[in-house]
Amino acid sequence: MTKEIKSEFKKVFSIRSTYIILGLMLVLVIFFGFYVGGWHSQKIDLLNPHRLYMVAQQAISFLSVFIALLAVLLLTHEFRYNTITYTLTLSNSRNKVLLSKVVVVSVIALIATAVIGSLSPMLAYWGIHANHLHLVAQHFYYSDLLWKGLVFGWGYSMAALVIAILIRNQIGAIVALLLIPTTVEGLLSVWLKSNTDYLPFSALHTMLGAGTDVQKSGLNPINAMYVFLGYLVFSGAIAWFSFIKRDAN
Amino acid sequence: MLKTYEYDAKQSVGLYRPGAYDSYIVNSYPDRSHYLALRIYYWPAKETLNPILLIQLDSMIKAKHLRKKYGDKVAVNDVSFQVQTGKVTGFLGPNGAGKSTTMRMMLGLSSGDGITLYDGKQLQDYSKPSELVGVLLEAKAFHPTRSARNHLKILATQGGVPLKRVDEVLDIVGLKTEAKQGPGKFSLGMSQRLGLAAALLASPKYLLLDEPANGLDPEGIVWLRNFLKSYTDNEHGVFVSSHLLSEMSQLADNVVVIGRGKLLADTSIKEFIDSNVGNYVFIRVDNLDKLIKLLDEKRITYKKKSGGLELTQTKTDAIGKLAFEAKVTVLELTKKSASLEEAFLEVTAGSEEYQGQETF
Repeated sequence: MTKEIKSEFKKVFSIRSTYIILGLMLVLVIFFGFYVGGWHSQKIDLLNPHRLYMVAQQAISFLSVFIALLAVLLLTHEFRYNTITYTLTLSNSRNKVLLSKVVVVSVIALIATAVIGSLSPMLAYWGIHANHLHLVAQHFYYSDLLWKGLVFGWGYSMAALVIAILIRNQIGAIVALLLIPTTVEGLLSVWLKSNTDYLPFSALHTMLGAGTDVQKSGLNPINAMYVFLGYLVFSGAIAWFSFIKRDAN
Repeated sequence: MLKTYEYDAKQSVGLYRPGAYDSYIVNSYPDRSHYLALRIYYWPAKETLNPILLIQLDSMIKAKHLRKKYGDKVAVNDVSFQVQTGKVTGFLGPNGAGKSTTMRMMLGLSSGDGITLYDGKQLQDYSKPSELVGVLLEAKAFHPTRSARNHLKILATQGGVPLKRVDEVLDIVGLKTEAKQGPGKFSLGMSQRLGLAAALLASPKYLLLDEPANGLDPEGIVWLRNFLKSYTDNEHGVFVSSHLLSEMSQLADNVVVIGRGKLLADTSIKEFIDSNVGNYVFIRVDNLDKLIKLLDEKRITYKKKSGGLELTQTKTDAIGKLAFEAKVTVLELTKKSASLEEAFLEVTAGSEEYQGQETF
């Protein structure tokens, strides 16, 4: 399967859109880290002992959508430009093809999330000092951020891949990726109220804890992760079956 | 499946004189291909001559009982045919006949009933399918901004082909100078060449090409024809669909014809033309009625056409004698060979999915 994985990496890094998305993501990391999280900090933020931890959480929460976009493009480009005919005839197994895409998206998601999670608090710290502000002593939960951040970044991109496999159409998949976590789950929250945390993307955000009041949430981060993974496994199985069985048109 | 092998083995053995050798089937390991082994005897000594000559059986593509339905519509209906090595097999059919669907089914891209065997095994049973079959299903199957070279490098990587082969195939198809460009702005002809380069990457045993001549200029068509003909030596086979019948008649050795999803013919070009239209003699005389009267008396069938008569199953000298006997002046007497186009139209009459209206 090594050749399939190598080939998928080459697909990602041989088109402009990858560099545009990664470049934009980096610019936003700098903007949110250095300016919003650092330079432009309010007094109340500077007194928060979890300030840098929260900057990292929020950056991962917001910027993971860019990694998810890469996952969508990796799959939907194949169907949009019909290169799927080559991909499937050069390999002797559709399972290998799909697994190689999962591996490549996972590797990119984990690396990109690690970069976002480590760069944003550093840039915030630098921004605060560059503006001659003083931040109180910080508590930074490294291991907590590590597992939550990586699961969030990986999970978001896997969800995007599942959406892309099921929809196949590029525009449709991107719209679904942008609307489901925000508009769709937002509208459902009106009806579900406190049970909203049991929706997939809400559970993912609850797990990360960015912008969520964990005390008020019915789910602790571990259970929230299980809820999300449950959705991912179920929808992933359908997507996998669909990829194996559907005609490659 | 084993029965198929046994049958083929008997057919192959029958080609050789018995007594001069001994023959048996071996089941090779690890690829499980079946070989016909020939053990050649010295004459009159009893010792055998080594090494044993091995001939691979089933060295062809066999599509068996392909069937595909879209809702109630049967797109491909129990289609079976063979693509042999050493030959170009043309794939003909009117628009919507199911040619592309059949090709996609052969490659496992579309689901359906039936099976396609490549040298006796399904494509997914090979560790490197790229070495067995090269594919060109759509000219524009590439990312428009990814350079042509990178496009091929990706395919080479996945197919386990050394990257130096990329420049070789670009050279073969004449795209070396455009290799750094994104193919989004390529003409259809250039796109076809890139698609062909992709198909050739692993020097596959078989090429499956869907309308490869579309968009090529006359020089490109001649180049493609010569290239495909030279590609089909004893080791290689080409399966190519095309709407350009005159081109196909120059290129293909065999034809597979389908209409409305059904197999209409699977034969050599010559047999296809002969059995469906055949050759005929055209005669034009000063007094057609006198000749017709004589032909009716002799019960010779004819067809009126272009101010003359078309006669099948006869020869020019015989017709000339008949004209002399009828005391008419011969203005034209020609032996005409039917074209592939005529045979194709004859076979596919009524099986067109889409028909234009005659306006003039």
